[in-house]
Amino acid sequence: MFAVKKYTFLPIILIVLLLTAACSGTSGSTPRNSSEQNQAETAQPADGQPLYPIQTDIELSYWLQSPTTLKPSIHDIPFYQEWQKRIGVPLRFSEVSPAQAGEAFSVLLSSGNLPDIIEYNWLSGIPGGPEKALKDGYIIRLNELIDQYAPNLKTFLQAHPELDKLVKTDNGDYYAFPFLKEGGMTTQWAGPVLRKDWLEELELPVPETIDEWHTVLTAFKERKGAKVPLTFSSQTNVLQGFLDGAFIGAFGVIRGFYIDEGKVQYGPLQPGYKQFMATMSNWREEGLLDPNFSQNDRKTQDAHIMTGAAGATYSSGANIDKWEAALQTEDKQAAFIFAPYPVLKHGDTPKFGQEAWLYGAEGSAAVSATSKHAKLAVQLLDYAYSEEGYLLFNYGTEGQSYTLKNGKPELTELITNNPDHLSYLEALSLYTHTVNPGPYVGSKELIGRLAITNEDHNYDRWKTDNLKHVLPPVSISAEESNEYARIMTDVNTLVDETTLKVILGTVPAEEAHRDLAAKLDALGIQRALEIQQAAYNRFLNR
Amino acid sequence: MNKERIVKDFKRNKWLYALALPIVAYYVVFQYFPMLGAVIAFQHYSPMKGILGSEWAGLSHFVAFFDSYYFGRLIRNTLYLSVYSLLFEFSAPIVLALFMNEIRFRFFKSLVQTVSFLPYFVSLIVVGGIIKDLTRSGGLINAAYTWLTGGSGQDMLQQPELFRTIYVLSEIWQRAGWESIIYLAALATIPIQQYEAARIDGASRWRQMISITLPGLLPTIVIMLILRVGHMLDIGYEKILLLYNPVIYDTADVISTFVYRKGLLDYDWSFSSAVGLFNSTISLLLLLIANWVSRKTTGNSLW
Repeated sequence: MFAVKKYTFLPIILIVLLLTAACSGTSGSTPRNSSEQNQAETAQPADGQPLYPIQTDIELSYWLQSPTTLKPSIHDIPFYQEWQKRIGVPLRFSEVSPAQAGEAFSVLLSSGNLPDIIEYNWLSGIPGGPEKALKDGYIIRLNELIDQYAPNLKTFLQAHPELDKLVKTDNGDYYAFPFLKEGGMTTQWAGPVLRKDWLEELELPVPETIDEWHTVLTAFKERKGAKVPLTFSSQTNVLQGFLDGAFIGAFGVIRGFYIDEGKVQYGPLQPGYKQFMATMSNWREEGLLDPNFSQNDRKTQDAHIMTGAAGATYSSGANIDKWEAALQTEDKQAAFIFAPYPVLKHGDTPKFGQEAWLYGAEGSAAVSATSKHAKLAVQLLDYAYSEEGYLLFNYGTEGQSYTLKNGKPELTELITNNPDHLSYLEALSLYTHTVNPGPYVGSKELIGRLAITNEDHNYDRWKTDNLKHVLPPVSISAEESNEYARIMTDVNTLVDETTLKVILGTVPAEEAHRDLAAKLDALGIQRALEIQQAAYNRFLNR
Repeated sequence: MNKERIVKDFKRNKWLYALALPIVAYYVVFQYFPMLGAVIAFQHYSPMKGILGSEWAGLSHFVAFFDSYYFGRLIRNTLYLSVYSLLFEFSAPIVLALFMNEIRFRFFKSLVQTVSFLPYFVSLIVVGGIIKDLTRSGGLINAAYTWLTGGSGQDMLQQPELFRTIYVLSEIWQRAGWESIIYLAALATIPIQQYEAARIDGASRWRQMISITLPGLLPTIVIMLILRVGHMLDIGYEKILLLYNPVIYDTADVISTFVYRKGLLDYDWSFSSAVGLFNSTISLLLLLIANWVSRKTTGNSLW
């Protein structure tokens, strides 16, 4: 028989197991090994201009997101080998997959054991943003260090006061070596796109209004047999396809905060949001919008496009080039045409669309507060903002990935016609830093030259009034950040949930929107608006 | 017990105690020591200041959770899912074991056993992928369900009313075979003479199952039930994380997934710990209650 009394040890184990579930993620901060502390950080000529390569044996640790999956380790990527050689400082990288970056970053912070340099989005990637990160003591204020040891960045920011305003907090603190863009295709690269050959066959013009889109998508469905005429990838967010303002922008709103005439507004509270949800719900009902749009990863989107299940989507120009090339191997006629962001009435200028600020804080490198080698970290990061560094980060190594012709860099065949059959984007991700955000200045000319641009692939067609309406990189004050973060987690859950329910037809738009507005008020959206407005006002006064 | 006897006991059994030492050390170091970390539930924890340097927050995180907009829904979802799991998923292996015990054909019996164990060894990530694929519009299960109910064929994981069913059924599929092992072992201990006697008295096989097998199994069932009740509130959140999406938060969002989102995605470690601690306390209470009820009614208990 089963002897019950022998089980007396079980309750103890059980209680222990139950309770420990609550205690994960805690660990005291361990002091870093300080044996290397006293080593001199040398290579500092009298005029304060560091001479690369810096002569040092100190190895710095560096946390970042894997730039590519083509190589097993970041140390195998030629760009990172060359960069370390140039700066003369060995780096010990810890890389995380971009899909898990948020969680990995959270674990990193909670461990209290921080690497010297952390490359991350210090603005939107961390609740409370840079001011809170500085106050909580994760990273250090860089103003004095930049003044003394980062002449290249300093010069660059002095020459570009509009950028200088973006990369600081309201208090004027520099918190990271920024990822800066030169505009053009480095800030504007995505938009709505349709199959051009289908449009021509059906004798339909490129749609501009929501109604025209409806006509075109219906024709795609009925006459081209498209199962999901309009599809999206929802990688990283269930509403990814709408987040930049495609379709939703026609109704004068976006999913988040925006500015109308100097006042911060929250999209889901506006009547336009109801119209947006109702319209998309109809489209889904009529079989025009992919009913799985909130679940698709990039591969599903690829598959829908490649098999002709979808004839329209929202995507980056680089992706579209890739699809077009792949489709044309089978069907010479297949082609894509960029469509303007949809509006309600002909002649309206689209209010929202994908267009980033010249600085958005992604891939920006901060120096941790526990680093023993802050000065060295600043020196090595500054290299990217020198003329040589600019060429290395954007074009790679001379003689390998580019050559100078008439003083201008030209990419070699290694990139444009790779012997290992890598696409130019893949090749660039190995030999340069171009395709990934990081602490450097992204070249507009390079990106502009690589993408296919012609009458159909006309990036100007994606122009919108976005930057007039979308919030600049404002920073929430450290005091308000906890309150703001708590309000917004509940708000975000509620908005995503309601929006998807309406679009997928579980609840009618009218009722859901009334309900949503009431619940948002109860969750404290007005307080969040106040906090954002104050942050925006402070930004204007920078 | 007096001091002398303790010393004597130690002397006599010193090697046994030495043998137990690593286990005790394991529990102290890896189970009890980390429990001290639960203290951050009462702090505004900041990793850079550490547990000793962080400010105290009193019970404010608990109050914030009780006041929070989603509190009611989280409790409701957690209870529903755990009660359903208890009702269906807990009884499935018992039924399976009873029927497997009735199979007389050896080869077939071991075949059934092996086949039903197998899903337990499939990684949860893979299981999540399988479930998603089968239930999305056009998937096999979805097609069958649509044919049976005449539904719209919409992705089943986007229909809040289906989530609990999907969760519990897939749980049964994955665990019933594995969990039946312990019952099968218990069945083997029932003396064969009892069956022989019953047969002589003319009991049918059904009668034998009800009157001999089931009572013989009861102590095991009760112990498993008590253990299970203690785990009631920490339902397999990993699986929910893999399956849920905002459309079905209405039925799928439970305390542990909320803790995950708060702690790991929103960096609100203290708040998240407070919620987790609350969850554990309730679990402990449930365990104590179940144990007490069991001792009073059946005489079986853990301690």
